[in-house]
Amino acid sequence: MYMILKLIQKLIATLNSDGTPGQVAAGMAIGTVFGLTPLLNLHNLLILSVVVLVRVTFPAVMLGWFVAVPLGFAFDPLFDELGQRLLETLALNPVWTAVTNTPVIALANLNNSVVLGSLVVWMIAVFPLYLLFRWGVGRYRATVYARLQRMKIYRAVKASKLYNVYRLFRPE
Amino acid sequence: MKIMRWKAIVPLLLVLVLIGIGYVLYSDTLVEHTIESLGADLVGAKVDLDEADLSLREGRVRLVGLAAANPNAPMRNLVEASEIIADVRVLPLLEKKVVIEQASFRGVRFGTERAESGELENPSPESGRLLREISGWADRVRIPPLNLDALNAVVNVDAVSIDSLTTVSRARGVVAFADSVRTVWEQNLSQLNPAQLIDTARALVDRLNRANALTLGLAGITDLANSSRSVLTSLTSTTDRLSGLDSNVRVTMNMLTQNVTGLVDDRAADYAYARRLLRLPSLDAPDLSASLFGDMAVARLEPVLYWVNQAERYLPPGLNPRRYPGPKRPRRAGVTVTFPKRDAIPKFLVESADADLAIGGEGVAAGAYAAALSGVTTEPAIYGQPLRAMVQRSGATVGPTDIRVNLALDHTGSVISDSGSAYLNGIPLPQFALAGSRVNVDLGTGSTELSLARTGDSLVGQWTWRSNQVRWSRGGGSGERRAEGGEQEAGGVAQRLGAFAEDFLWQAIASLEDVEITVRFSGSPRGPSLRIGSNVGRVVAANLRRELGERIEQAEQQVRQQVNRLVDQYVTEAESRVAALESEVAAVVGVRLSEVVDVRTELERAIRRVIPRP
Repeated sequence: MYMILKLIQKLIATLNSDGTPGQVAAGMAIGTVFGLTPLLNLHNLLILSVVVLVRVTFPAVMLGWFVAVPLGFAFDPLFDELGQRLLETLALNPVWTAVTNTPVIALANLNNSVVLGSLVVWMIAVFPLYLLFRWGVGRYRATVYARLQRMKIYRAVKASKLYNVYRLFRPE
Repeated sequence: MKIMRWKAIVPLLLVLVLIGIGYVLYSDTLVEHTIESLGADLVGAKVDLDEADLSLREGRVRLVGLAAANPNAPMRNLVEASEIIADVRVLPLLEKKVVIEQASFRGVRFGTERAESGELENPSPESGRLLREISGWADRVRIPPLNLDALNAVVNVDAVSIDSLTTVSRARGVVAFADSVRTVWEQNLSQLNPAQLIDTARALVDRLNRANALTLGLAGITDLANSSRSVLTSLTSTTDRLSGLDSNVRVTMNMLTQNVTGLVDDRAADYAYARRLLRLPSLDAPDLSASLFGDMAVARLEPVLYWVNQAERYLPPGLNPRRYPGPKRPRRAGVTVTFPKRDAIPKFLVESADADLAIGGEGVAAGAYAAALSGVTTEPAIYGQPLRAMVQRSGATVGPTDIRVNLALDHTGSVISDSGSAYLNGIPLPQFALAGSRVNVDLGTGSTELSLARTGDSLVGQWTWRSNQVRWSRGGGSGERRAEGGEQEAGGVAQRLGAFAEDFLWQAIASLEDVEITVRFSGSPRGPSLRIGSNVGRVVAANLRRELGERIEQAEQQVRQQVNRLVDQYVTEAESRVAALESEVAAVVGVRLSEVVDVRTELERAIRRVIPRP
């Protein structure tokens, strides 16, 4: 419970003030891969390693993941269809033959239609998603969050004892 | 701003190490689940494994307590092995490939009982489809019923409906076709109008014959030449078109004649159909054997066909990409496509395996057997060698007995070439009820021999059971579905015989001590046709002929008369319509063609005489 509360606080803080909109958007765009593609796959381990090593806002990655999970389930038929088309394209046969017969890379399950289709969609969508999230975070901070701060209920909650409890769990 | 978060390297490595440790800790469970899942897909029933022990360092897998349920008898195991030890090559695992250099199976037993049903709740679409297909074939196999009760009743020939007779529909088709081609040919003849052209040409020939170049003058000769050229062109064109029509007429008439001739066979088929409809027994021995042993044969062939087809599915020929269902997960499984590569390692390969099989107890089959297997691979075209399997007795416990099983599945080329033979002597043979009656046969201990060969989509085989220790009994439930291993009779008409028929059957066979049943099958591996022969069928047929031959003959006569009454009119109409077409139209086309050719020859001759060539 404590961990979840801290995570939520982190997410709110990230959206509201931590990092530039660009940093937050980059983290969210990368994080969508964990939701769009089947989670337990080698490419996700690789991307997780990159996320850990590169200065990407980690809570934003989590936020991107949460946002993309329902989308992943919803678009599975599309990923399946796209993946099958790619795997059945004769011109790409040499590529898939190499991929499935190369040590370690063969473990990435790229010959599965859903894995391949979703990964390709994510790779195509990652930059547009970054732009979209950057615009969204900017707009959120400029309008929604600013308006929220002016609302009486917000100020009342912030002045309450409940908020003091909430602050106890606030990450450093 | 610094891009890298160097402090995170240690936690990341820690996470990766934890993942690695988790993988090692749970690899046994993973192997267990994978084998159970893949095995269930392969067998079409539950596969249970008590324990799996994977040692990557030694490249060894040890499986304990493997039991694969029988898809046709879920309360029994198809096979059970107490221990399997496999030497696995480690490096191919990085390519998701499993190469087993040597596997040893210990404590293999067959047909053991299960505590719980091995039926799958959700069979994989492919294995479920195959089971349904084979089961559908079993349902479709026509097993002629053995029913003598019809002989004691008045044969109700009115039950034979005109619409159900092939001869009638075929004769109607012939008539309709003959009428249709008659219309077309008559239209063609009318459009060509050869009679008018022939008259014109003959008149021209007369003119030419009477003409004199000196009296005609240059203008007259020119006029005559032009007319001749025009008529000659028309004659040539008409000859070509008539030749085409004549050729079409010949082919069509030939076809129609064959159809009319074929009505004789159709009528014979209708006799057989009507006989079946009215449940009249046949006096033909193979037919009776099918009635008596059809259900038993179909039930035993079902698993053979299932495995023949599974062999094609799991050992596909060629190097084309293969599609398999993706892994089970909360997300959609999708399709996993494998891309075999020549000169690479196959995705799954067992280079060689041996097994010690034991049949316990005091039965004559009890003893030790040795089995050897080689070249089991999902990509035979890469491995380049056929799968071979062999089983033979290695040590007897009691009695002289013999077991020889040889199997060679050659899927290395583009065309499947399978062959297999099994000879088992001194084994308990099936016991079952005859033709859905309360007459049961226990074949006792005897021999069975199965041989089959498959080339491409063509399967031929033969399965024989022989016994000289047959025991017959009466009683129990009617149509009792009793068969070895709790198998169910499949397909056919398993109906209860009447008391009269049952008495007759009992009297005919009760004293028989030797039984030989042979089932020959040929055709598609997914639904071959069967021919069943047996000395029992011959004995019953002979008895039938002796005791009831006259009555059956009378009943068959009635059936034939009824069929004749219904079809004669249509057959006569078809014959007369085709004969009329032949004489009234087809012959006319031939006559017109020869007339046109003749007149054209005459015209050419007359032209050459009157108009000299320059």
